[in-house]
Amino acid sequence: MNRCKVSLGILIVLILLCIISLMTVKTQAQNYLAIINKLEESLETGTTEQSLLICDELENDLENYYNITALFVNSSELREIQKIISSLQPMIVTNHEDILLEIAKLRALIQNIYHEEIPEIWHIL
Amino acid sequence: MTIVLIRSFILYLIVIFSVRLMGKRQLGELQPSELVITILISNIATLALEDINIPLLHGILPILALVCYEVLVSWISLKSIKIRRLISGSPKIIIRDGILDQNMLKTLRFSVDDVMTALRMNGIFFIEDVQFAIVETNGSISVYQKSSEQPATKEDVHTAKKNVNPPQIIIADGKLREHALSSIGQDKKWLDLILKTTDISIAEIFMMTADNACRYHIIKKG
Repeated sequence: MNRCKVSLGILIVLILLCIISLMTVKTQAQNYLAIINKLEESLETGTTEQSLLICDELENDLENYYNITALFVNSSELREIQKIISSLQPMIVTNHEDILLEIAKLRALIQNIYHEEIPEIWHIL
Repeated sequence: MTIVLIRSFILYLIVIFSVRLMGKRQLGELQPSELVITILISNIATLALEDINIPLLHGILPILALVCYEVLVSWISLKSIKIRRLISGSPKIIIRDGILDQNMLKTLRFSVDDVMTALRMNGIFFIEDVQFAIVETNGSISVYQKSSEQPATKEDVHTAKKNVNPPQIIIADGKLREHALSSIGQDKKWLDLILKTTDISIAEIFMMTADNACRYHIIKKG
């Protein structure tokens, strides 16, 4: 009977952990996507200096995003994000034509990480 | 490398905890569900050990979840015969009064070689000597011989004596086990008397066993 109680307790903790992981990944993704949206806006309407500042913010927040999300998500996916972000600043400086493409890729990666955490039937199967 | 070392230690603790949580049933002969869980746990732990890109939680969570499911299903099986039969099946008789049930063998996909092997492992070489042979839910075969073929017991030859509990280890590697001493109904005074008689100290003893009939055996160190 004691083993049953311990098992039930552990199961409850695991379920709570799953809920926390989903909420954490969602919050982190939303925060990061907000900065990415700012960057995109700035590239379309703002100055290069503004874009570089936002890119700095993106890089500074990356460590926090990486460390927290890596607890719940495969870190090879997060390294992809790191790669793209590290290439953004030079692209902004040189006004590279593919910068918006890279930002779209980045957005898709972050959204994918969050969506894969959602327990939908397609993800389970 | 250090990360792998630390992860392996954490996973080792989790696996040990899981095996302890599943209990002594796991350490004996396995039911089908228990075998599946054991294999799954080892594979999951291996994945998390080998690939450091996988978060440690992705290893720990399924191991703990599987163990919890197994404990809860075992408890439910205890309360419900139907669930028990569903999960573990039921024992099947394959030999009755010396006659092999061929239909049951076909159902269980047991060959005659399997049956004879099981009988021989129970010290039986003739099927006609068997009253019942039962295939248990864990796949092992239990055999009950006909009365005329069973070995004689002390009661049969009228030499049965009073029941004596098996001996306990009183001293192991120079250290006294007081609970074992009290379980055979003796105290430190009795032990001191024995040690004085045999001119030996506790520290010099590798192993001492004794039973509740005061029979003891001492093995010295060295």
